[in-house]
Amino acid sequence: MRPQASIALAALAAAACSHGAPPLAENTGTAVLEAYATASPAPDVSALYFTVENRGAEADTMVAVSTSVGEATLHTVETKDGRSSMRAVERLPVPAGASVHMRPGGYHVMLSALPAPLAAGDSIGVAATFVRAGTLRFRARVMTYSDLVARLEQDGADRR
Amino acid sequence: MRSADTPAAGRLGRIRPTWGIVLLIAGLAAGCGGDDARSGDRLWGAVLDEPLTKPDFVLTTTAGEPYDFRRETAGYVTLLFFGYTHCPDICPVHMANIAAVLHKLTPDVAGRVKVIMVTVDPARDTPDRLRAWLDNFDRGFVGLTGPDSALAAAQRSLGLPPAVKEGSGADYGVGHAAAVFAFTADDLAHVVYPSGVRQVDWAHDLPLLVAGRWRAP
Repeated sequence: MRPQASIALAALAAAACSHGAPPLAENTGTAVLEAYATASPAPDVSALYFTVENRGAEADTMVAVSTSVGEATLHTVETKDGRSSMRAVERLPVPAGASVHMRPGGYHVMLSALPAPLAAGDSIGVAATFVRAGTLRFRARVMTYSDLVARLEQDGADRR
Repeated sequence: MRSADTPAAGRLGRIRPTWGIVLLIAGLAAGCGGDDARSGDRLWGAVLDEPLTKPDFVLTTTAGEPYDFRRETAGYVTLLFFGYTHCPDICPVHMANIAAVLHKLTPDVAGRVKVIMVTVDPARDTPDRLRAWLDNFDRGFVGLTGPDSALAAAQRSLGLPPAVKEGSGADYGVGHAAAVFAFTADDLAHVVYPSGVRQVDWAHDLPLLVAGRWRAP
């Protein structure tokens, strides 16, 4: 095996081990992993979290996200003068070799104007558009906020 | 923010009330290290330098009844949060975490904890909507609303800047304090729980708060 190929394979293996699952979608090295939407406690509002991993050698940027339900807005949370607020994010850079993890209290996709509440066990279609990778389509499982946080805590503990 | 030279400090370190809470979000992220400093009876929440007095306000429940906060919660561990139901992230995550932990604790502990969410978005959070939202987490959680002036006064009484509407249109957001205040039976809040607090933190602290037994920092 050529050295370059074996190095690439090793990197892929390491990436796969850190998440324990193949990507939900991937193109030109930009991969989506671990996509979860939340069962909506309000009839019309929910959230979507996913991880983008850039396995390529060049930076990529997410520039749009949409779902099969309602409106989707990428947000981050900022705290200023004692108040936490959501700020819409137009471009989400994913540097080469880096991962961006959407997490409670940080990056998340707000789902609003839902036609019907999301229920645990469902899944929704998601399309995330990147400058380099183009549009990646994948499905996000719906789970309760409690299950989502428990899963992310476990995942975070694994990673740390 | 665990620090070797201040072994008595809680996992998040000690902070000044109110404005210092802001710093804790960063502190929490930085403080998620090993378990070695998290033993004994130290609280894992953010212990305040100066405890906060339980505020004195009367708001309205989702059933339309007046709720005298000090009187109704006397003797209970009381978790007070200011949030809103169009909030997709911080608010439901706090409520879900607290509910999940309460449902795992024994009734003699869980039964001594009251959870109160005061809306910061009374225009959209009708009593019915607030009730239905809270019921997703726990039917015993208390939802309170009232006139803007009363809601702002309740926040100011804790030293919080009142929540503000952000953006326009039907989908506006609300900027608000992200921490849950934990009052104990002494009618003081010695500890707050910022956004980012985890279920394991609640599971560790709630029994200590109910028992009134934790090591002073």
